[in-house]
Amino acid sequence: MTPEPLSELPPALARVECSGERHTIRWASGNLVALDHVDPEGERTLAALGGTGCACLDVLGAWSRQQENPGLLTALSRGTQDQIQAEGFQTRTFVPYPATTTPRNVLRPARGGGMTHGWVAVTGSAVGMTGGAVPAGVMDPRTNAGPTREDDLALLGGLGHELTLRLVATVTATLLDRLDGPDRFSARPVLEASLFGRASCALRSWLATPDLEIELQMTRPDEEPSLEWDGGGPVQVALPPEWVTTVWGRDLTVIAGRFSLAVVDSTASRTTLVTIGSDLGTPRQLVVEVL
Amino acid sequence: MGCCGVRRNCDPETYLRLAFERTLLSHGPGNPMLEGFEGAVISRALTAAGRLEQETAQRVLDEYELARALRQPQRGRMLMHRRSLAQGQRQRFSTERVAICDRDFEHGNEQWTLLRVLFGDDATRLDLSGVGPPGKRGNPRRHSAMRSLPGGMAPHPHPQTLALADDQGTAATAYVGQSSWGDGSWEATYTSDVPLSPDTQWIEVDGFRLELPERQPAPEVHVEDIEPMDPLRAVLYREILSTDRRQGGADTVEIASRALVATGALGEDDAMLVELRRIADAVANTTPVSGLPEPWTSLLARFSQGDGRSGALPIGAVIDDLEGFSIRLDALFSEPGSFSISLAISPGTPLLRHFPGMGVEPSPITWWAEDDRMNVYVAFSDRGGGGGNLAEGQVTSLAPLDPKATELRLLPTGTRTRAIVTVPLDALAVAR
Repeated sequence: MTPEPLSELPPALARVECSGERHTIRWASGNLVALDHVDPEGERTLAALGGTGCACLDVLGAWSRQQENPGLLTALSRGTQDQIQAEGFQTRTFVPYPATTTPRNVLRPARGGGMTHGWVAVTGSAVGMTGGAVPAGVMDPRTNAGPTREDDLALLGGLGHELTLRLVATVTATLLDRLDGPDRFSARPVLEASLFGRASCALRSWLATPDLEIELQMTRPDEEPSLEWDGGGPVQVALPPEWVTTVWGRDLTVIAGRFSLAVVDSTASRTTLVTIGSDLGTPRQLVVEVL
Repeated sequence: MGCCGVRRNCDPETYLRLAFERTLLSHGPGNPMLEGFEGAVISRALTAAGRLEQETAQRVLDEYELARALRQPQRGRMLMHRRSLAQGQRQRFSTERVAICDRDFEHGNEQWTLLRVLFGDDATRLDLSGVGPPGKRGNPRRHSAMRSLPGGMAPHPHPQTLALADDQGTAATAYVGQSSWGDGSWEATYTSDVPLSPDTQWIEVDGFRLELPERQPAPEVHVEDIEPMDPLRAVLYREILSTDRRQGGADTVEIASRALVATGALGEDDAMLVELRRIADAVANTTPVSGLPEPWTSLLARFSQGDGRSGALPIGAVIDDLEGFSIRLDALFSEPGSFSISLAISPGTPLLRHFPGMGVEPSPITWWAEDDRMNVYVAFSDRGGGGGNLAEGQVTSLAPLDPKATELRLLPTGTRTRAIVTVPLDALAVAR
């Protein structure tokens, strides 16, 4: 069952190079869909039986295995200042698109030489190295093995900023659902660390203070979020873990120069946020409306 | 609120994760070898205190190891390399005889020195150095060395093979292994295809006959059980003795202490914490302090001394199994400020872990030693190379040998057992 907050998030797209064409992966309500494949499940079955795999199917497979993995919150980017570069990893055929101009988190297929296990994630326009990144004399213990957890997370972490937001939001919402269940204590540390890391990244960028220290209090959803800073010591911030899904997961951390503390309500075209200005005055509501 | 963005009585896993988050988000690329250092220290302390399951700590470490690898390409390669090291298989050593030679001879237009010969039951190994032209003898170890690489950058100045012979009629070919060179000198290790006789009085290298020192009896070796120490105290002792105790202004003993206090494992004024901080200060300042428990008082007694004898002696001892490790102790080198033991170990991780702060498991072996004058010594790995299966290198003490000592007992120590290798010092020969 899809956690409720996810149905409120707008769909997001990632473009990948698949079988020599530009294909689109869409996130919606916590699920990934390969828009250019009529029967991806059938293709996955064929690939599992020895048929030819493809980039879109690799992404769907990785997501199906990792969509409840708390480790995804640790692996994936905390924000635009935290860039993923996975050149040291080897995985399956890959993938995303475009190959030359996307500013960050670009994955490129391995080329030439009969390379069938190689992909590369690069930053900006730099050309990375291919899968032969293992140091001389070091055997890759995973040769001939299926994708590992690391392979999956590296693949998903390279799908770009918009997909990263939604994938992290999805896993966060799933873990928050678990907080009401019998293993509610097990997810709390990873949720608190994820909130700390993502709020820290956003606040450092917003306040233009790269080494800003944060003291976080993880609150309940019904408690007032807050942010205080005397300009010298650590920022005191109180946020619920839901902030990662409802605010960070929508890329609404900073709107019109104001830091978003919470979403008040949201429809397909209108979102009302509680925000605070860089003068750290009284929080005020801010409405974002798509006309 | 406590320090560093965490509350007092913080959940241990949360405390650990927040420490890793701060490291991950720290400004600038930093030193990739040292990142994660703080988290690993916290993991060791909290697991030893029973505040965190080892499985949980390892999972968190693995998660952040991957996170760092995804942000630094070289990290990804290191992650793979560490995996390969973790799979190292133990292999047993044999040493029939070690000869420390320091024999100079002219080889073509170069002056060579046969430094050491190690006779095993399957091969013989020679350590050689060379310098040219003759008369300009140098020590390559003091030069900036360049490792020979496949498809290397510069032609190596040493031959790839040597012809060997002994007085028993054995003829062998030795092939070059590790080597380094620079500034007109080189140093290389050669391993023979068949073993030379350990009883030989001389060997020939490319036709040059070199007399060997008289064969010495191998030292006695045995392994004994030790009383296991309280796990938390043991971990904190190891942090005090860690070579990477201080990095970038951080002190592992303080990192561990803060974690224990913040998670409620110990009170700020806990007696053990107070004592450990006194020991750590004394070790850091190399200053004897009264009232410290043993072995610290005996250990600190030789600190800051510079009266060690200069010399070398062969050891030629093998510890077959010390908590899963095989160790070959080759030779002892003594200098005024310290002494070193050249050795090999299998699996190789203890010598390759130049930064032991990186794992949940503390460094598996502590290199203790004691002499017949009640002095205690501890040594650290400061030179090592090899792979997961086997590594060779040396450990070096923090203090010099007592010049009046006649016997040194080497005590490689694990968590439950220790080896005892008794080395007489009367044969300590002057080495160049």
